[in-house]
Amino acid sequence: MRVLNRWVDAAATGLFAATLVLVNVQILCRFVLAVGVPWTEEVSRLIFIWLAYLGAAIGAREGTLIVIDTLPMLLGPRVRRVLDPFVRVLSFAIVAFLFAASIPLVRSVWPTTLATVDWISNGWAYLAFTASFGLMILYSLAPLIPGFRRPRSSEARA
Amino acid sequence: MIVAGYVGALVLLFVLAVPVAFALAGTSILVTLMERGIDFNPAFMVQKAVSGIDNFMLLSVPFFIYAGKVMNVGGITVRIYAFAKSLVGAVRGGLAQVNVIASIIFAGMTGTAVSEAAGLGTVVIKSMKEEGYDEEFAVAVVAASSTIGPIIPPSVPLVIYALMANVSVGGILIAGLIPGLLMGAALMAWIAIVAERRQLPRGAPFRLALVVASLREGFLPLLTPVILIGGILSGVFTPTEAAAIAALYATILAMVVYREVGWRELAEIMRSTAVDTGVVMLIVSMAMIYGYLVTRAGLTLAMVEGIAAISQDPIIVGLLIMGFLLIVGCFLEATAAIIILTPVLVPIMQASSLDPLHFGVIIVLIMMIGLLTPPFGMVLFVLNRISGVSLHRIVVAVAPFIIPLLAVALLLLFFPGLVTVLPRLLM
Repeated sequence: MRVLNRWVDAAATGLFAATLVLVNVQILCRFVLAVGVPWTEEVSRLIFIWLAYLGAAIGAREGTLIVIDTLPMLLGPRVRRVLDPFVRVLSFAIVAFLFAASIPLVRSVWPTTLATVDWISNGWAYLAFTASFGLMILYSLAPLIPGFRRPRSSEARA
Repeated sequence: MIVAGYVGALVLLFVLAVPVAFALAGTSILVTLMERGIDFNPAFMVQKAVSGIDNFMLLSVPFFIYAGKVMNVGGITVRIYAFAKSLVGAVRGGLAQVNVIASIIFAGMTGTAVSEAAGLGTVVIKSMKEEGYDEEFAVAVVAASSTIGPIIPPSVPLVIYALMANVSVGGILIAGLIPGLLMGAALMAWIAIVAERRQLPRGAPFRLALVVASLREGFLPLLTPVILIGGILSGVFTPTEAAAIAALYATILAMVVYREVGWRELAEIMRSTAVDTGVVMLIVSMAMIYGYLVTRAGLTLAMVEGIAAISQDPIIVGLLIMGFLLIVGCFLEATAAIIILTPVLVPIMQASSLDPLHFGVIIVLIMMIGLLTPPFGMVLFVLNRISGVSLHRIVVAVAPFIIPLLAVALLLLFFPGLVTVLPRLLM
């Protein structure tokens, strides 16, 4: 699990760096080299989708997804202990539902390609969703499997 | 029945502390099941979610977040603070005024209130404590000033609002400039009154040589807002391109010029930027499913008709929305609230002749006040962690600062020209 986390983190870092470089290359080409590079915008959008969904999966792993926890905080630790498993199961069901819904969509879109790069499938955008929600499922199940351990937030932030 | 399902299920899931993104998706799934039965094709939900964030303008969000983070660890915040201190440190309550000036400058570089509070907070609170200010007062000044960050461009909430309301990103970013400066002026006036009443300390006398020296030190970071705002204003760059240039510029300053950030730290900043972006974008993409279904179900129309029955006067409708958002802001994270509520609020604004660009700035301002109010005040949490002052004491100290911020919001409502003049002149 630790190896997978490291790869996912590295991918998210790399995707951000790639987006930053790509948009700056686009500007450089337009203003300095006076060359139009039409594919940069479409490709950077695709990378951004991957960056966003992978970032969301890491956020789910680290427990940093935005939650309105006013009521559980007011009701105290006892109620939180009762609510927490319910919230986890419900979140898992929603994630699993959307994960399953994304697979046929990736398949159906896969034969079509980007307008500016005809060797990149449009399915890659939807695959980001599938990968993200698949990772979220894995992260939800990981604590239930012997040998797997959910990283503490301090470890995750380090 | 269906309309009640949309609102009721969402509120229930929020209250149960289901993550906001999953609550939106869960409600959408539940209500679609109620509407169409078990035999529906859910692929459209994924399609709406992904296409909702497939937008070049949204790329500016990670760049704005990243630039703020790099500036915080790259020694840039300290230089800006030193420059502001040399300018206004000598007046009574000078360090509090310094904080507002530094916030205004920093607002031209970072797009979120939290990064502004975290960055300046660590420097300012320590400095104010050393000079004899109350710790609570120092924290309150940082908290209140941090709300200027997302109003002056760059701004993550304004970009998100523009996407959800379908208004010009460049236009609304520029529209935030005068309101942001007004917020700074209102806070400075408020601090001046408090400083006289409480006889707050004065700093070292004003010295031009010190201003010049600190300006020389901070000159390169001070160019960032010029690049960003200048780039967007001149129409040379799109907001996303300007954000990318600012992000690259901040990296060069922190790594090459000041050498305060190494490769490892940079990689961690990029990783955490990806996570922060992902957390927000997950809500955006799930809100796209919810927004689509809510519009189809006629909930938006029902709300428009409900508000229209009360009044169609733009000022009254504006005041009603502001009051509603002040309450919502206490319970809902600011960006999440903007994402969820904007598609519902825009038709209401249009029905009562409120310009979505003008009122968008007010919405974001009100939601930024929400960052200062319990129980869900992100800025309060950040400053509690930085300063160690209890949340209760911070809340009490921050409360009076909400008055000048609300006064600015009302001023903007009554005088729309303060918001719309720049985009009209320059865009």
